[in-house]
Amino acid sequence: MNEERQRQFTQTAKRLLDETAAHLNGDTLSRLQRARNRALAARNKPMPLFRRPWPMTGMIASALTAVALVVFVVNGSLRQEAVETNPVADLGLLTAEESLEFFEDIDFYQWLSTVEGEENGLSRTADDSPDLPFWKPGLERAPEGRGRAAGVGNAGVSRVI
Amino acid sequence: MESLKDTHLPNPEHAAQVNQASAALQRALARLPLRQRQAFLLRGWQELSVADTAGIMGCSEGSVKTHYSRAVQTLREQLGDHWP
Repeated sequence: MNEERQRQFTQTAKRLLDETAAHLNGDTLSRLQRARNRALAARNKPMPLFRRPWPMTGMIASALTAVALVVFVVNGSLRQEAVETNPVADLGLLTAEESLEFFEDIDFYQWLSTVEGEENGLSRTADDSPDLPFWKPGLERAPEGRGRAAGVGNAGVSRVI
Repeated sequence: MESLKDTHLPNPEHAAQVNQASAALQRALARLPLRQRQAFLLRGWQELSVADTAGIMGCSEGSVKTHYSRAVQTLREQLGDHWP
């Protein structure tokens, strides 16, 4: 592949990604920008070799990538397409050793998905599973024999004894 | 390629074409190995330099070039039928 074709391809991809990102809400765009700034700040901050935060920059890179991907997954215009995406394809993110920050952001993504669902007129019932690529059935479910009858809170703890 | 240039016109056909191309790109990105995905998004989308990308990813500049080149090649192969 020559460089000109590669450049044209990248420009088209960037334009598509930019156009998709332009439809995101302000909070999400702000989050993307903060992740980008943090990554660059960590990159440009001089530190002694023995204190080089390679794991931290790795986490930030993962977070930036994860945010970028989840942005498109959560984005309403691509919701249907995202559901069709094989969730296993994103296992690389979850199994990466530097993905801790991604897990810390799960609440944010769930909240974002819920808010966008409400904005689109969708209501989520108790039996609905979050349409997130990293969600696995059973994560928020109570063990069998418990739960529905007794009522289960978010942490899977029975409300009624 | 030409049809994607006027991205601000409220043309339904254009919007549908962009949505389709974006969805195909998103699916192809999701299938890339993590490091290639990072290299493509940081270099291609965020337009960071090779040096900045290498610093953020914690690898050499040569590795960034390799990951990025492989990512573009794979994406081009996968998007062949869907790419405008």
